[in-house]
Amino acid sequence: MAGNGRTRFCLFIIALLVIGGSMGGCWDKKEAEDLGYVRATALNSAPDGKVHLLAQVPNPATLGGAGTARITPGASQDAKAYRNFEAEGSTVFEAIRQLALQAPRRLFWAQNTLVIFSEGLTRQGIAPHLDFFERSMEIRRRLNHVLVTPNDPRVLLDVPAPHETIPAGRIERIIDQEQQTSRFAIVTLSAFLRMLSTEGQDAYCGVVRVRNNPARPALVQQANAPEPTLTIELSGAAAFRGDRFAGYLTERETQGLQWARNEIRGGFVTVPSPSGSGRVTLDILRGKGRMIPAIQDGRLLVTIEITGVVAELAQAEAPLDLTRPEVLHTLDHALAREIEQEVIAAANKSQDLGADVLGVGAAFHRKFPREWREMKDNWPEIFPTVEITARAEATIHRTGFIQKGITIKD
Amino acid sequence: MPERKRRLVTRRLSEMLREVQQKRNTAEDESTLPANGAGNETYHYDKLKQMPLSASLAQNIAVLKRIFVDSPGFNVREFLVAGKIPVAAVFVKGMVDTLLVSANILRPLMHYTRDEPVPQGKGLLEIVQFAGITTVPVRTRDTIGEIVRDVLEGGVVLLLDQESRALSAEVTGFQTRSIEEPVSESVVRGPREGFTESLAHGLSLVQRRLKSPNLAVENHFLGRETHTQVSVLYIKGLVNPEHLAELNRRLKRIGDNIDGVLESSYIEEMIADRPLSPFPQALNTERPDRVVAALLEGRIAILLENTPFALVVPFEFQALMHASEDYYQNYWFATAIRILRYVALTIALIGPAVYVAITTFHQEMLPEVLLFQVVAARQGIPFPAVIEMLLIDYAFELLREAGIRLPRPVGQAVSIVGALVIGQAAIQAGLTSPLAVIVVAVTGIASFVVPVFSMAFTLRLIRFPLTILGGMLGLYGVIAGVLAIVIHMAGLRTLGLPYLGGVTPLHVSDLKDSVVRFPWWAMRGRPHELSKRNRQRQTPDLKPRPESRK
Amino acid sequence: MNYAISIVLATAILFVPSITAQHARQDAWLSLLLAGAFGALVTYIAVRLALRFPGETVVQYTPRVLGPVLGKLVGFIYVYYYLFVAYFVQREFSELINAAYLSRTPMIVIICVLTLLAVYVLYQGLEVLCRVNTVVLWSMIGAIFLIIMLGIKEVRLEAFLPILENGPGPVILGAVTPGSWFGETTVILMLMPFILATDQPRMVKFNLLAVLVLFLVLEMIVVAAVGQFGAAQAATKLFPTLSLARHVDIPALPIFSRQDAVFMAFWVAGMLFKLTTFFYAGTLGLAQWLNLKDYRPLILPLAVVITALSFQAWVDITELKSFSGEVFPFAISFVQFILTGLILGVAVIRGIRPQPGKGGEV
Repeated sequence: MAGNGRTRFCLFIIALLVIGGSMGGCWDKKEAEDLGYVRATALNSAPDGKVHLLAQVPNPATLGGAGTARITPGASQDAKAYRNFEAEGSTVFEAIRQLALQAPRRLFWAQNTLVIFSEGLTRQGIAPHLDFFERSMEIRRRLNHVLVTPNDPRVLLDVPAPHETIPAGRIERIIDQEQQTSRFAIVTLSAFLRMLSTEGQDAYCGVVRVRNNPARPALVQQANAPEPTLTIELSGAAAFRGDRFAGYLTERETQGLQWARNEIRGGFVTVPSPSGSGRVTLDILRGKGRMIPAIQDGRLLVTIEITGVVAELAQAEAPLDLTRPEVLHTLDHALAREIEQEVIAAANKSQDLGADVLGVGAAFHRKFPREWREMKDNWPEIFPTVEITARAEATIHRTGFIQKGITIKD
Repeated sequence: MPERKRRLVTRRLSEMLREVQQKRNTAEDESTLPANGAGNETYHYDKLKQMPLSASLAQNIAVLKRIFVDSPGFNVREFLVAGKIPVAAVFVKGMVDTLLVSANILRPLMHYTRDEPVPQGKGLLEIVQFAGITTVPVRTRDTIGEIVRDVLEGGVVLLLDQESRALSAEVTGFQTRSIEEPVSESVVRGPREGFTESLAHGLSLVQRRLKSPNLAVENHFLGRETHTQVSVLYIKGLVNPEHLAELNRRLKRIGDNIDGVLESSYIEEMIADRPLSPFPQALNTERPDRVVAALLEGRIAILLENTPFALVVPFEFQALMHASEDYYQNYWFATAIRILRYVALTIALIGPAVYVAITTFHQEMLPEVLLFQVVAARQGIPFPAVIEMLLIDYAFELLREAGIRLPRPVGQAVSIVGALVIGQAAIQAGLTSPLAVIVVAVTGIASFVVPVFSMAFTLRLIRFPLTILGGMLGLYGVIAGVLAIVIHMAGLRTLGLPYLGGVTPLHVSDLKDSVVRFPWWAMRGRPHELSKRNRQRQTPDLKPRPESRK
Repeated sequence: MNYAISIVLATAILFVPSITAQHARQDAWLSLLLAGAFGALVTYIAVRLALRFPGETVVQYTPRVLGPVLGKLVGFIYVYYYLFVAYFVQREFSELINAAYLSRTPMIVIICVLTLLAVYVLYQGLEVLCRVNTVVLWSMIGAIFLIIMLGIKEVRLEAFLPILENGPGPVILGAVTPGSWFGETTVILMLMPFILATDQPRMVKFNLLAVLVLFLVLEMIVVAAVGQFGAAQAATKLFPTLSLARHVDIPALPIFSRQDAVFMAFWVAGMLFKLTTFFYAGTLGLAQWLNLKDYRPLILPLAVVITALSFQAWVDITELKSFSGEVFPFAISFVQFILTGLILGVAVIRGIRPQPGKGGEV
């Protein structure tokens, strides 16, 4: 069945040679402990057109249960849970290789989850730097989030992180909480690249800021682990025009943007109470956004339709009588109006900035491919003139555990 | 008995014995055997079978004594039938039950008191056979070869004077182990009888479960010196005649061309379709119920003397993953257990290889929390992961082997020292990471989950090259190794039956008894490739249905 | 017979989404429809031809159909075509492994490992080839299906709009490459003699079914790639399917988020069997072309030859990819469609029938 003896022998010898030959190699072997796992990468502009790179690498010896119990030679008690390596280079990759001059480990980018650009760099254009992140075989584009910071990344990535060992981990966990607020944009590297390359669509991404810590107590002399002076906050979105920074969106505008982009997974809306006094805050559960472009007498119209919004009554400042359905209907209506206003706010801001982060152009491209061909070259000029309207429908499905709310006796 | 008569008998006896003695002296010279020095000749059944018995008792005794000159326990007991006709009983002490011999052969013959006179020559044999000895199987023999074999197998052969035939009575009386629970295949539910070293026990255990005249046996005697009886069992009408003919052909090829067959593995290796494969090519089992189940599927069982391990051929790979208990437990549970076994098979095969590949090539595959645990655990370990893994794995095999060969109490001590002390110490000394020890331990346990031990051996063997491949080329190496194994298995056959049968070539009905086990009422057909003639195992529509609900 | 699906599948899914998307952009899925139809046509012609000479391979009957000289020449083209696909697969595959996982390992090692496995299969013959194929193929389709299911939430349907933005031209252009890949089912011309006589009449149905399955799988991948990355991004990726595998993210179960290497493992298996099938067809064809009784002595020398060719033929990945988009389809379509159709036409016109008693025994 399997050849004669000699050929078999030949095969065997070849197999031995291949196996033996590769034994001497193990070219790609890299022991897990010899790698430095970069968790966050921050890029800043540097003089002479260079780029400044910061890579945050956790110190595994201080993480992990088994490791902490063991004595690692040289690891003193003040071992920080992470180290930030910094270097400058004319390209990102050059800077990365510059890091190798300081880092005792081979830096490994597969676990990287944050790509942070400083505002200064984004004003100069980030296309040249993005190429590296798109090309790299190590970087997981879907698992990386793109953020812009107005602060110095060096400060940002050194703010002490409560509940997390390293600042990068803290930012990731905050991103995980996005659906509670919808007040900042979460954009993966993959989505960011996709927006950059789609016709009639400008890119946007989340914003991370350093703030003074409001939780800092008056008693600074507290000896036992004082509250740090600075804290990190994610809020709003950064809009791009092409690959350049165009401006920030406020938290409310960001929520409007996400409605329009159909990326709402939660959030909250506060509306005036139908009872006349106080406000009502609603917790959004889900909702769908759709963009309907139209061309009427040469005018470009876009209706942003928000449908199927389901919310839960989270808090009412003044008692509401929910035994009457019309109260809830009034509330539904108020919620829909507020959503519409959020969307319009986002649209107005993006038109002011001249950054089509809503993807209005892309919507025209899909529906009117022929007309688009004429528009697309002067889209930046056309975009601010597009008439954008919003239409929302919302229902409040749940009201919590009470129907009426307490009435405070006089 | 009066004094006179007794003296008469004594004189008569001593005369006769003298006569016999003389005859023997003359006979020894006439012996047909080559006379190149007593005790140095070697004998062969084939040659001895050609040699007829002579009509002279003395000469036959002389020949046998010559053949058995240095044999341990060879005995010739000469006595007189009914006090006058000389007869010799030939046997090997230790192979026969001497009490039985004296009670069933010597006593009835010596005290023969029937009315008709005992004839001196012709007719004596019949009288002895039909009216004399009282053992159950009695056969007539007429060559020296047959007698030699009977004697060596624990029979008593009666040589008569003036008769060229002998009588062979079976009174085997050597010690055998009693039927016990099979050690290597114990069950929670199911019969607890296992084969023993006695072939007779084995055959009876099978026959007790299979009371059918269709159960057939073919005997082979293998081994020039050991002359081991090998029984090939099958069910007529279910077995594929091609398989049977092929097996018989292969067994005949072994025949007397090997000097000894001590265990069924000898046969397993000599009838393999692919002699160089590390995979088991005959299924071995200690369990009669498993053998019967195989027979009912149209397979062939091979039972051997002197070993409790029977062989089943042909079989598919998946049979190696089945335990007989699967069929005795609830089928949902049995299915879950089988899935568990396949998972264990995968772990036992590629566990260390994948660990090495992931920690040294594909770190990105680990979620960060797990990854940092790995990294933290490996801080300061002096060996690369692949070397570390090979060392611990080897140490584990070392401990296991030491534990098996040692007496049970000592073996336990060894495993405690090994597992706890060495493992713990190695981790604390920073020589290995706890993770590697966990991986090896899980792998080791997983390899014990595979129900057929010979398969577990194969797995443990293949694991090492796979680990090396994983350390060289990462997952690419591992998958290349696994593919090589799959290709190899796809080319394997047992008695011409494809090893991966059921899966490829695919027979959907065979999959009812593979990773899953269907309830009995749903398994209508026998394995497809095995029984092309008699497909139905049972009538359809056996699914129980309570009458009331009809 | 599953090989018909698997042989094409393995390499096609490597490049198809990006090559097709380069031309057809968001209409790549339409291109595939066209390509599938073309594939079905080629397959139909090939099976018709093979069924006309059920006991022989294409190398054996072309000299009778086209005359000894021309026939031998065409026979050699077929042999070369099969070997060519084999070494194309070798190179393509090792480029992927090199680029994505083992960047420092010399390519020769990667190719050698795969080729040795193929040689091992070939020594064991066609039966083992088909057996392993069954196992590998379905696990591979399962793996692809899983990857797509895991990412299906990310597919944005608006990525497929507008339909036919630039007219049908780009769609047809985009169909050329996958069309030629579908046509690789012509390997049936070498394998028909080994198919059971009872199964042969059903081969038309089987093979068209194979093209259908293949089409569905490819369509799923293209839809997933364009839907998840957008047409522009899908077109720029070197290995879109691998990127798809890397794109899987399940926030609730992060342990499943980075398992693309597992997918690679299934892929290796698929690649191996595409390589093996064509290598087998080529080796067998060459043996018959040289009138050898057994093809086995040719296995090792040919393995060395195709390994060398796979190195020498293309300089780098860019060349390989543009080749597989621009040259490969036309060269291959020539053999699959024109030559096969020609032989069938001539055989029908000249009324040539199989010689009785001449079987494809090797």
